[in-house]
Amino acid sequence: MVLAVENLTVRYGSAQVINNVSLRVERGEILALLGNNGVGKTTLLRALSATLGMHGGKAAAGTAHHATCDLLRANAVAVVRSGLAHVPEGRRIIANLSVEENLMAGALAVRGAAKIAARRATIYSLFPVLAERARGRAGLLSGGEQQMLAIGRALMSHPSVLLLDEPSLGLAPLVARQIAATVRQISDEGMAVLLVEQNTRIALSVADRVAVLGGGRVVAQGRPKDFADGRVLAELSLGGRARERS
Amino acid sequence: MKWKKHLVTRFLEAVLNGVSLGSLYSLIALGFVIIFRATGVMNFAHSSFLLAGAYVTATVSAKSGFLVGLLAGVVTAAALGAFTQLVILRFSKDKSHLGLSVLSLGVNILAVTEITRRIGDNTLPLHDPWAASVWQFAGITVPVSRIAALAVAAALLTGFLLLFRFTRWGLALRVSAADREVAALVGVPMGRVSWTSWAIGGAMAALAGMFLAGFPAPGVEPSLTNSAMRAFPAAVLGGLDSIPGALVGGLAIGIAESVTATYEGHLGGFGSGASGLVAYVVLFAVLLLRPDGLFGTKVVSRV
Repeated sequence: MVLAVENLTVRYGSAQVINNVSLRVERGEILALLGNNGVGKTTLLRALSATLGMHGGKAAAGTAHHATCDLLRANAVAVVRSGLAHVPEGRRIIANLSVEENLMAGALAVRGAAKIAARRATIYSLFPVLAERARGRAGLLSGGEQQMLAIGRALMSHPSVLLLDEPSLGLAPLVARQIAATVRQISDEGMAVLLVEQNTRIALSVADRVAVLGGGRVVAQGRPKDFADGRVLAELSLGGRARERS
Repeated sequence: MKWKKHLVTRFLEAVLNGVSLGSLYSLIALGFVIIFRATGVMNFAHSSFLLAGAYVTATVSAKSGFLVGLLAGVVTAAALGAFTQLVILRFSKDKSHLGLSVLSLGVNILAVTEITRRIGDNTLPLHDPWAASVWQFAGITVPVSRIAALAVAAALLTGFLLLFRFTRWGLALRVSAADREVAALVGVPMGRVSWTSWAIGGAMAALAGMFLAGFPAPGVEPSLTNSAMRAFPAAVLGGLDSIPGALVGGLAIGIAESVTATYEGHLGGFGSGASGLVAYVVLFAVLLLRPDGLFGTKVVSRV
């Protein structure tokens, strides 16, 4: 087991956003975390990447471990060094740096120039379009290319766990499916992926397992086929999007 | 025709002195901008770093020679910068940029008061190797200290731009400045980036302070902080968070000041001392007409 969250509770001040959540993600597995806006999916990812404090949140109870790293106590640098990488919502690439500089930023916690160069070559072969645009400004990339860059940046630190927050957000369906296929490929090579998605159809198509978050709790877990009938998700108060797609 | 040639050389002298003075303002402004980019803090303690560096340079060089003195001054100012971040700002309960900036103002008051007390009514000579010698060529007269200042500042500024652009430290600084959360997510050691930026800012201020205290200035005295304050309009003119902006802003303020100093005698009673004002006239104009400066990031906020 690579990533283990046990009985995690997260608060922003007095507001309890995550309530007693337990999750596991294994090597080579994609766990899709579904749920409406505001149920705490992004908060959960922040708790795991030690960036919760920047948003005023606090893990009040429970544990989260990755390999031997205590994710709730470690600082952000230690979390990255332990092999956990987080692709934040909205991609957050740095528009006025070049594509290559954005990618190299992902290796700032890595030591060894040869290792970094090899890693960069791997990522350019995974996303050839980034190699073509290497010297251009990252802000000029299309939405899909920016998402590839955000994923590539996270992969630069050679993680064994990848947290992905809404990779399909704002992308054309075809592009979103391409990104999903790449994520599947990365996972098949051994990566543990925790995927937060609003687009349930894409999430169900690539995930190995699914967890549904509602009101800060895990309200359902299972295989994608258990949720294939859109009404199941709708009943779990997943809202209009699931219903539309059924 | 003779007076015409005199007019030209006089103007060239003014510009050359201005470029040299401006390169020092650029050094100070650059340190200020680096600290601002790395930590979001407006460092109001910058002039105390400069004064501390110049003071230690003067006192140590009196006994141990100029180079040892300069090294001691630079190290002291760098240490004072790192100290401000590591010991004072880091433990502030108020983590807002405004709160930390006000704290740096407190550091400035304490440090400047103490150094002023130590200097007293004296003017400390620098013992610099070029002293009051001047160079003359093509009818232009320039102090050697100004040429040395320009050479050192140009080398430092170039070196720093290269570091900033081509090293991991520079990339870490640029990423931290652009998006602190992303910097954390990629594992930038934010604490180290912060205090090294404060130390580098302090070191550059010390070097600039040493040159500003040299000829034609009489030596190290508390009023040196006035010169340090000129770097603030320079940074604002450049756009506060822009590295090239700090360079251009510093040069512009330096040239404006030097040219005004050359011709202020022609402005009648109004003119005497106008060169000390011109930087702040520029500051007012920039804040009124173009608050983001020449190269600064436009602040876009939703209401």
